[in-house]
Amino acid sequence: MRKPSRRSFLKTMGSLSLGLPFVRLLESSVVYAQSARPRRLLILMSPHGTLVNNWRPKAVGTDFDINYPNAILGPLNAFKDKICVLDGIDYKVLHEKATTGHDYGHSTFLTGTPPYEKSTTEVPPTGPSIDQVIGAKLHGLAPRDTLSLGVYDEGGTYKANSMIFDSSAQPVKSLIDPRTIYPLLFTGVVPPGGGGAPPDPAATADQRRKMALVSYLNGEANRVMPRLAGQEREKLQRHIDALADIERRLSGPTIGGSAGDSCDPSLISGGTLDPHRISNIPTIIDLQFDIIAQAFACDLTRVISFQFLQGGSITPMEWIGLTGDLHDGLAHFAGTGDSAVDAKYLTMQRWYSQKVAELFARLDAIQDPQGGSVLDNTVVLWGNELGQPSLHSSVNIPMIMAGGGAGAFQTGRWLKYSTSSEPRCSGVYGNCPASDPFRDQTAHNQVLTSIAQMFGLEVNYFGDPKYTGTLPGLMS
Amino acid sequence: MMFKRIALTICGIGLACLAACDGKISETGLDSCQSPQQFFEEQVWYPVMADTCASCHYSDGIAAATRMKLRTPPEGQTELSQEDLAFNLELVRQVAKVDYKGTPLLLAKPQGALNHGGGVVLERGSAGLRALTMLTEMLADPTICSETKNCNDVAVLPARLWRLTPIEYEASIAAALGETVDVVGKLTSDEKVAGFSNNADVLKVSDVSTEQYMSIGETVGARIKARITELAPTSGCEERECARRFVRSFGAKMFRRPMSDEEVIAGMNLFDTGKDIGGYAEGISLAGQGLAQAPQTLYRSEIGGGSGDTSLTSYEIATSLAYMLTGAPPDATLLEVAANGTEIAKADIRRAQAERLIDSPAGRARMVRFVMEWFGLTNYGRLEKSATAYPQFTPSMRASLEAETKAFIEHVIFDNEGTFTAFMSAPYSYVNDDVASIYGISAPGGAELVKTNLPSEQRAGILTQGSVQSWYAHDNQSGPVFRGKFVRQNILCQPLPPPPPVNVIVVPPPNPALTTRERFAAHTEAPSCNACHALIDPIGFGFEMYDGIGRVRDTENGKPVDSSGTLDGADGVSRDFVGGAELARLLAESDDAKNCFVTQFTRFSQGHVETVNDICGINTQTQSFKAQGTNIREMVLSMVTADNFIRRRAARGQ
Repeated sequence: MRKPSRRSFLKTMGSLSLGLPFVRLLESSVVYAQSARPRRLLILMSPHGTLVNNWRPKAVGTDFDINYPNAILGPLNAFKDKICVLDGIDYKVLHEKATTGHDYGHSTFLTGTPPYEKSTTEVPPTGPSIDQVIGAKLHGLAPRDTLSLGVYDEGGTYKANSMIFDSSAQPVKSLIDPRTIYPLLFTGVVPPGGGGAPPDPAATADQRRKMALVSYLNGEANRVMPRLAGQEREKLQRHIDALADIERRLSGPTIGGSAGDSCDPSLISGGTLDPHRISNIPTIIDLQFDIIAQAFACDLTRVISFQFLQGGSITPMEWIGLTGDLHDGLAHFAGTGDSAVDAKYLTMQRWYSQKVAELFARLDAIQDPQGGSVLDNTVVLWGNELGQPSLHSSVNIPMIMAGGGAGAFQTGRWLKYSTSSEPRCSGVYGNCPASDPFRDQTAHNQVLTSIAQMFGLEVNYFGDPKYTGTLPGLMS
Repeated sequence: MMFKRIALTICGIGLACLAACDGKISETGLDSCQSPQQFFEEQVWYPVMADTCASCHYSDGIAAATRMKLRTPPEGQTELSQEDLAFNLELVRQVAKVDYKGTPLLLAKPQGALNHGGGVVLERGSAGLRALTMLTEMLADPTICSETKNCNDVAVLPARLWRLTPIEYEASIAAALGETVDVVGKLTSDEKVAGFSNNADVLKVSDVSTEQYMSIGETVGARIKARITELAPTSGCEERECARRFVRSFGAKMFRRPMSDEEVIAGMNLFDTGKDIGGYAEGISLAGQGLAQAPQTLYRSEIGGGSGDTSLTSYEIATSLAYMLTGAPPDATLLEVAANGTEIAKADIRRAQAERLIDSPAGRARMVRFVMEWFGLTNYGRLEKSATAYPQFTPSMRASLEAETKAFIEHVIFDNEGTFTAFMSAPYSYVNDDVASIYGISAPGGAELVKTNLPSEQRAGILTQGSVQSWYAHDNQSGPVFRGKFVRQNILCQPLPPPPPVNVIVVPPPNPALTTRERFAAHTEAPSCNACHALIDPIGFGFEMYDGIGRVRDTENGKPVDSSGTLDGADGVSRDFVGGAELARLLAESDDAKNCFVTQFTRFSQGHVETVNDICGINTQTQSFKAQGTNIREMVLSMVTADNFIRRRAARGQ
């Protein structure tokens, strides 16, 4: 049997009919069609879990406060009206396999799948990550389907380096070097209004050369194709799809339809810093944020992911006074009653909030021509591989949604799915009584399903088919 | 499928011919053989383990936290998928490898030994225990496997495309062009699988890398243009004929085989477009760019002759040989052999070529690369240490420690003893002034590395070297957990179970007055952490005599350092040891470490992580590896001459 191409596979996923009522579907496609504003997806991931009592908002009458002393989300206070705190989200797919967020949260975060256990040191997930699926769904709206960015490669000390997985559930490595990302993304980009000049003959010749190359490579790939089967066929199809994308970018406009006046990549640069040096991490993050902002401003893609370090990162953060191994040396001791350790841990987590706030500020400063800021028009999901860090826990994962996605969901809210700060039964999870409320907590698959529906995917689950439905109260 | 009631038999050297019928095993003299997979499914899983073991040892079961976490059928079903059967068999194999007082743990536990939570579940002499015993013997004794037809069949890899790694691609362009063009710095690095960055399943061409290849192609094109009169001379031929000659010769170098006429025509079309844009040189340059990034170049073809024939072609064999042994395309000599058709399918011809390649500078460098990947040290050049804790760890020191390890690997394999035993336990290393200061020995006087004997109670083989100890450490202290995990996973190939999900872990806050060992001992003491850390820490603590940059230390925070450890459940009996050197010497003799070494090289040379299907092959190769005295070069050559090297099987989904 001929295997479907990556794109058709992802598209099929998007239109799976499960015989369940899809009340939301019509509604979201209507919203999508009516809104001329470009709905985007931005995924952020930072490591080491959270201390829920410092992360969770505090109720103040009917309002809530995220800026109390030592609040992890404090630095985001300026954007309180643009975020939605998802309180009490759990990696249930991990519990079920009796595994924890520590090793697998990374690969489960965006795939919603339990890890496929092999007798090796790597435990890949069993499905694609949501950014890849949505990128395929939005294919054609912008020059690129997706962009996966990150910072600092720890060199594989830990098994789960990637959070992005392609249609065959193979890891997609994040781009960490702005020196190479910048030319990749922005070379040849003509900002709106900058296209009035007569075409440059050199550029035309270059385009002809590239078109001829792409057509040649496509022909050669198709020459090899008939001799392949199964997985190998899929591998080469992916290559052919990539060539088709290049061809489209070469022949079409260099920017998407929502590029506005803020599109001007010449304002930023790829910098010259070595991304493999720990001390360069903060600057590289800033450069990556600039790249994200311009990629959206020029509408080069609708889907971006950004990974702040890897799950279980051992990298020290000397720029905020944190030395040594922040995983085994700090995160594993947080929340065990040592206030000095907790203070350091909170410094780290508040720093991540600070960086997210800085990214939000960049995105909020860019206006989309169809109305609203880039932040307003983006569905932002910010997650983590862990819940409580010293417990290796995969409940109460700190998840924030933000932006609103051009009316996809209402922001400025604290949505409570659990009020417990700790799982309540003792012993290994498998021994918990079936009646335990822990079992009824909220699978993060519902977050992914909600996001999938916001982008018009007709699905009632994402990842593990067992966990169906959207997140109650999120989509309004 | 349900338990199949089929009469079956198993035969093998050293094992009485046994036949089984209806789940009851009796000794008879039947003669057909069965693969471990079939035997497991029909005689072990359905009649014995599905009820006896899996009722507790499953993901939600009472014994879920043990290493024996079996896969069970979905609720309401009794049939297990082939994939899950394979998984369970692999798990069983792991447990069967552990020796408990002369009995495999797999057999000891169900008889109630070692505080088996379920008590005695299989009585001595029961049919269930005998089935389990037979399976254990089948798994342990490769001679049984080698006589089992099925087993040999499945050790063959599927027909596939294997994308070149950035390093291989750089070497390929350099070979075709005659000069090096930066590739490694321009391509996104690939995700590692089981520690290796050349896994064929993961190596793909992505949206982003397609553009990176195009950008590399532009550089190649510019170099071709700059050397046009040398690379595509126009003397003595009509312009288009000259171009055709270039396409044929450059294409054959890139494709590692002669081009087909259709491929030449396609290349000529590119030439024509380029010529139309900017003349002859432009045309040659564009054709060169295309050939340099064509799928026939980027992927190593392991498809075979076609029309159902999955034996590799002579050029495919030459290509496999060259990249495996040198990380580069076949040279002219090898291509000449390939041009002789069936010659290279002969084991002795392959061996002669392989000897030539492995002993070349590129061949020596390839073996060093293998060890660096296996040891996880490929990014060692980026290692940073806290300047406060380790001011000595300068860039020069880092470079020296890396050079030491690379020199050691190369010389042990090619110039000295040549054995795995020496690799793990040699009493010497290659030392310059930087390295000498780490080892606390007198400086040889300079930056050059000199073969030097080291104190045997402190150092042995590669494991205790400064590079390994500093890599598996924190930036400001030692790293017993990293080191223990490294030995378990990389040296012994024993994957660790994931941490159990627990609700309450009481981890004591760090006390700066304690030693690292005392602080980390909390892991082993808390029962919830014990499941994993009991497997990690007793090994990791053995390295506590080395600090975070590999220097020997007697005290930490004014307290004596305790480097006693236990190597336990690894190759059988648990052995106590003191210090890294003693551990290294234990590992040098360990059967599990030898099996793991063969496994790791197989992963690297095949770009493939072993499945249950590969176990027989690996066991057989380990047997001969041990029998021939653990010579590493010889082991590599034996893999090249093995029959599966030149065969592939039809890929799934055809």
